[in-house]
Amino acid sequence: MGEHRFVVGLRLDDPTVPSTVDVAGYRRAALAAEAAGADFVLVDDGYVAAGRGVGPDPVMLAARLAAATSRIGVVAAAAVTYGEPLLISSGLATLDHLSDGRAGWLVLTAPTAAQAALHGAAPRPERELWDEAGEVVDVVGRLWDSWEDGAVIRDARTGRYLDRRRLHRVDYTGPAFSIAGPSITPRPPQGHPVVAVRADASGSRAVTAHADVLVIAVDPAAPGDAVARRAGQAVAESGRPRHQVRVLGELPAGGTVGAVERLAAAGALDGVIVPAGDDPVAALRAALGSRGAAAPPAGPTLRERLGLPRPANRYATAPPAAP
Amino acid sequence: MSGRQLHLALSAGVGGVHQGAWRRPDSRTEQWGTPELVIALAQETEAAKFDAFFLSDISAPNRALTRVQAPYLYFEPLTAAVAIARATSHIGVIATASTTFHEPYNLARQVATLDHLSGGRAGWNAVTSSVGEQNFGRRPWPDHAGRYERAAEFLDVVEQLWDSWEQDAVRHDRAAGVFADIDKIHPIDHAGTHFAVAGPLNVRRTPQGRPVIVQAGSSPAGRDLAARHASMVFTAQRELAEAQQFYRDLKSRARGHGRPDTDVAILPGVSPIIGDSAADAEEIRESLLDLVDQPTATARLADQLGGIDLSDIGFNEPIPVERLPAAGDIERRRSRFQIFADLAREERWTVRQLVGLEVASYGHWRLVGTAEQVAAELERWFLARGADGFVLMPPYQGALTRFYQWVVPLLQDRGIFRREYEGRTLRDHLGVSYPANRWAS
Ligand SMILES: Cc1cc2nc3c(=O)[nH]c(=O)nc-3n(C[C@H](O)[C@H](O)[C@H](O)COP(=O)(O)O)c2cc1C
Repeated sequence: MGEHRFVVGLRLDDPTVPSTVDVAGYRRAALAAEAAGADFVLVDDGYVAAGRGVGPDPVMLAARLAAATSRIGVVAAAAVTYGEPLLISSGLATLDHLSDGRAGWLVLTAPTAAQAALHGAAPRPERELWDEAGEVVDVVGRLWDSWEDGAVIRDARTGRYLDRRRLHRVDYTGPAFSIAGPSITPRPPQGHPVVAVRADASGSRAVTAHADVLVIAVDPAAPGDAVARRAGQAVAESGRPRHQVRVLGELPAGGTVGAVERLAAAGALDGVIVPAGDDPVAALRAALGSRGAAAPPAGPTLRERLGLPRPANRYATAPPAAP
Repeated sequence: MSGRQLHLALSAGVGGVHQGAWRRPDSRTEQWGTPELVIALAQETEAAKFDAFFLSDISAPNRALTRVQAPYLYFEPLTAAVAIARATSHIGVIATASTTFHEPYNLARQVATLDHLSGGRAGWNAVTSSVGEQNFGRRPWPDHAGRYERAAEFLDVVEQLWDSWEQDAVRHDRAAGVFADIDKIHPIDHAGTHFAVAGPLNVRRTPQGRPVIVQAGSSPAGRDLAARHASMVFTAQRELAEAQQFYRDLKSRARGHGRPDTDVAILPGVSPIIGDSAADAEEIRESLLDLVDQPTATARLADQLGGIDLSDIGFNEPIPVERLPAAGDIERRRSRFQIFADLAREERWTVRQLVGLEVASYGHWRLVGTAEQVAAELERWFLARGADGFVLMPPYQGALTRFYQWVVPLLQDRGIFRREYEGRTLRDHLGVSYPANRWAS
């Protein structure tokens, strides 16, 4: 590892960031993170995090933060268990359009009995939820591809608004749901918003197989080589080629300074996610300081910040329309 | 200002509801589908002091149609609404979301989030949807009655969730370490036919108490839903007499549910073509029609008429009415079907005439004339209680600009439309009351 920029993200779900839609608090943290040079903010889901259960809709809050900022990535958690794939895909595609390609998605399941009770469902084994999540992530990717780049041609002379051959049905039928497509939203600027998942959850393999970013929990006291081993293991389990994924270590609150320095120096990770804590700027300063003089990102999108390619469109077959 | 005031909302399509709109030279079509254009439209609409900016939802694009016609809107409405709220300060922001395809807990949370992020300007257009089932395959698609049954329980659950935090539940007591008074946060323990939802919501009570519920769907089942829950109704009405009948019916249903009828604002859609002169307006109308692809337009009409075959009928011939299904057999847009079927049956409209109505405004009221004529007609409907206001559905971009620059000042001069915002929330603009929390003692 270490061939890429060491990536630093700030997680905004910390209880000290007021969690009942104090927009100003979130916005201040995001602006501070952007000014400090962080690569993204992560709006986690209080509805899913154990022990809390208060919080605005993360994708919508991320849209608000995207509007307040201009460079930093905005990653929103969205749970798939009780969500509709089409709505998840169009919501995140909209976030990517609104932010000019700065959007990311942290895929979550909603495994607790308390969450099930909000949706009239019986709790299900986590493994089953992750399998279903894998299905959803796969289909969401197809929906993002269902409009080819440049499908909208707007030829006023001939009256052709769209090249219909470049709009595709996805025609998916699986155990949990079926969906015909195409999406209601054109392909996002990044092709696909960045897809991230916490790789430690048992059963998450179904999702890591589709993810761009694997997040692993990091014990700040752990030696660098142990973290590197765990990172390698996460990549191996995902089945993804190493160069196509980034592994980020998620640090618990407190005591991040030394840990980040050590991890960055050991080259064990592609980056870290630090919790905002009481003082987001201090949390970031430590993390950013330890990445040294980072090369500037290759471009303004979150993918470019992460050094990830823009994915090819699986449906791109039609040659460009004749004018 | 005094007296009853007109309420205006803009239905924000990408750039005009007329099928031919995008082909006009002034259409800005290259920008359609960019967030910048939608945001600029919202800002122009706020400058015109409208009550609300309205985002519809399409659930599924029509591939055959989009070849020749711009999709109405590209974005997921709730997420787009956040960007619009941030770029404006007074205007209400209404996002459409389907009770057939969403989950009540998630949706209650999303709309509450919008109300917080907008400082009390959120509205939710609760529709039952007439298309899109192919994209929501977790459950079987209910029929017209079944969709409204689900909608009724859906709205009941959402309102309970919005009430689940009392106004003063959050204490912010730093010294005592008490964030919220949990005795004032209530589970809802709803167990019904369609939903079982424990609650409480994970978002505190919103600035408007409850965000505004808007309803669009005009069959009797739709009206009843509106009468119980909606503060604003969006409807398609073509004639004043029919509009008055709808208006009286809905207001009396609202009273029947124990609500003052001033708590439900009724806004028919209107699609005005505004000319320098009456002749100029006619000319614009004709030129728009010339830009429409005829086969696609006829297919749209056939669809609106319940999917009947029109392939053997000439463009200038009337509709063979014996082919029309009964309204009760229409499972999709039943109330809209009624508008087209009535014109075919009672007024013997030709394919050409009906296609003209469909491509211009989807069956909504069309107005063609000078700014003075348009303002006078709107006032006439308003004073005759055919409407409390209108949802403006501009046929093309230029019509919108003319409405703002020419028609709005005339309405203001007539003393029926605000010159400045007087309140901060969408409820304030609509003049509807703030609901009491069912838990408040
Ligand atoms: C004025 C108006 C606007 C509507 N807008 C939408 C919309 O944006 N999205 C949607 O899915 N359905 C929309 N609908 C459709 C309704 O959801 C409903 O499915 C349809 O009108 C059939 O119900 P009805 O027979 O009661 O009118 C709209 C209906 C009306 C009357």
